Amino acid sequence: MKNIFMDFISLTKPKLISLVLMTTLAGFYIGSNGSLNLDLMAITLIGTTFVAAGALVLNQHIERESDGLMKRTCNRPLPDGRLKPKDAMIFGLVLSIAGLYINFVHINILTGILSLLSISVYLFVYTPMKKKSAFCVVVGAVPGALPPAGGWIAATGSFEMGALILFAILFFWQIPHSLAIAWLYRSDYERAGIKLLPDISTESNATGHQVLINTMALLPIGLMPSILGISGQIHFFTALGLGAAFAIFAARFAMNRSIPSAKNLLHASYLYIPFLLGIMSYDRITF
Amino acid sequence: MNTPQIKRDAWLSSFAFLTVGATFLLLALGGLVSSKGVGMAVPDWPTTFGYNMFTFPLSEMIGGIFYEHSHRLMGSLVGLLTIGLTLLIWLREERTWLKWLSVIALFAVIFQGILGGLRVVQISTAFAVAHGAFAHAFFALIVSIALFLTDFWRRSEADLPIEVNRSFKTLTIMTSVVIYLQLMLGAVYRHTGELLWLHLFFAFVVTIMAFILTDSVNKKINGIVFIKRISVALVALLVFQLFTGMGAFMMKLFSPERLEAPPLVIAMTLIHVLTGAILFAASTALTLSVLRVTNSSPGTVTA
Repeated sequence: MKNIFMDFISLTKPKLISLVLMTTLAGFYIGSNGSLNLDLMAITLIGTTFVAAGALVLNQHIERESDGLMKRTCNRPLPDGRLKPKDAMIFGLVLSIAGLYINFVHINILTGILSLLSISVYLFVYTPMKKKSAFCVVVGAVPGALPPAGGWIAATGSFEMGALILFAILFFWQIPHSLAIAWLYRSDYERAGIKLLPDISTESNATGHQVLINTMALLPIGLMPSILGISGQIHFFTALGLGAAFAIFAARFAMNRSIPSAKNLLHASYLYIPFLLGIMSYDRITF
Repeated sequence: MNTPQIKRDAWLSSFAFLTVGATFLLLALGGLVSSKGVGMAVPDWPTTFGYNMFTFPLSEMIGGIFYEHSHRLMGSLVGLLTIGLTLLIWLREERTWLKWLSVIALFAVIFQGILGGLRVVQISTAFAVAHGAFAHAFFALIVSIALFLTDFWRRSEADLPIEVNRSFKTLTIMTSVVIYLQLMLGAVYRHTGELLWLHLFFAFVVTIMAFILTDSVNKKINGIVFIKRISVALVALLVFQLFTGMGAFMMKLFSPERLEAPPLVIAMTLIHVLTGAILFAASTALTLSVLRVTNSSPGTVTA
């Protein structure tokens, strides 16, 4: 019984959800502009958890066959046969509907719409596109970038420039992050027929180029909160340093395309977002 | 190929890169002077408040004077380094055209100094624009000289040229030309606030051209890592530049009174200006490297 419970929990990908919650929390906190509504914040985090968990469970339900073909994912509860697909689908639907209900009814309509958009793009555009085109990485970055914007909108009830900037930061961050993972596990993905890398041949370095270009776009976008007066000088110069460091790792990967350089890039991406959002939260300007 | 072997001179090459570094710092100081609006903090030239430039008391280098006078001193250092580079090239280099190119660089640094001086003496925005725009040209020239002294350039002498069509070469050259025009427009907008629409339009043109160029380089010059790397760096820098430009533009658009302090405005515009300089230098290096290794008519040797 305990094992089944843990399998259901693992279907929701708790580590990924913690990242989603962290970015949502940062968006909520920064958007609150000094007047933090703790009740609303708690509801936002609960609603976001349900929506994200639901989407992740349903995604694994759809991808259970291809997950079974990959070393990295073949031990997940569905491909391994520990859970029935029907149970997982019901679990995913219940979580998603509950999350959407919370967001629409207890937060605000805009946050609800954003959640619905996030689930729809993730399940009905990104997931099927993974087997057809490498452009799915760009499409997949959209639902991945919505949580902090959702946090901001939950706090303010309106779509402001700050929410857009947070979306842009997460969007441009996710592309090099996802491509680094895709490159490290490329043989696994190839086996499952999933197209995540834009390279058309072994000689092509489109992955490296896209990693570098998106990281270079991220660098100045990371400075935007200071420019718009959302955060101050500490954020500006920290974001400049973080962005430059991230760009160096991206350049190394683009030039070498080696396993260590891809791992370093991935680790850099894991550090970039918490530090950037943390500094932005610390250095936010209230007005 | 019966071309004479060019001797390797690591010391000379290092000196050239030292000059590149110093010139970049000079650009940064010049950018600071413009961003802080202290170009007229020292009203006389070539003297500084009547003093010889090098004997001006350090204790009086305060406020705007600090930036303007530091810029002048750095300019003098770059002038000295350029003289040194020219002398070294005449003493140690075999290539005659490179010797004369170093003389051109020497005249260019003197010309740039005079432009800066006239900007002060004439209190002229036109000279400020010319001084700002020519700074990028001088930087690209010094980078080019450093490139000519690299192992890449020397080794390419022994390689067979890659056959490409003439339109590819034209695209390579035109990309550099258009980037320089864009830098000139940037200088005009920075000093006068005019022609922003044209600067934005050229940003679009430069972006299209740089992406096409990088794609073409990847297809046509696949085997030369150095060139491929510069072409990728060019596009990466361009994307960075587009967003820093957007940032600088947004600063003007969105409630400047909410900005915590001017340093952010200065930092953002300075980053934009310096990236512009690097972008043009990279583009020039790419153009020269492509011309070096390619040939558009069979049997002709590129130099």
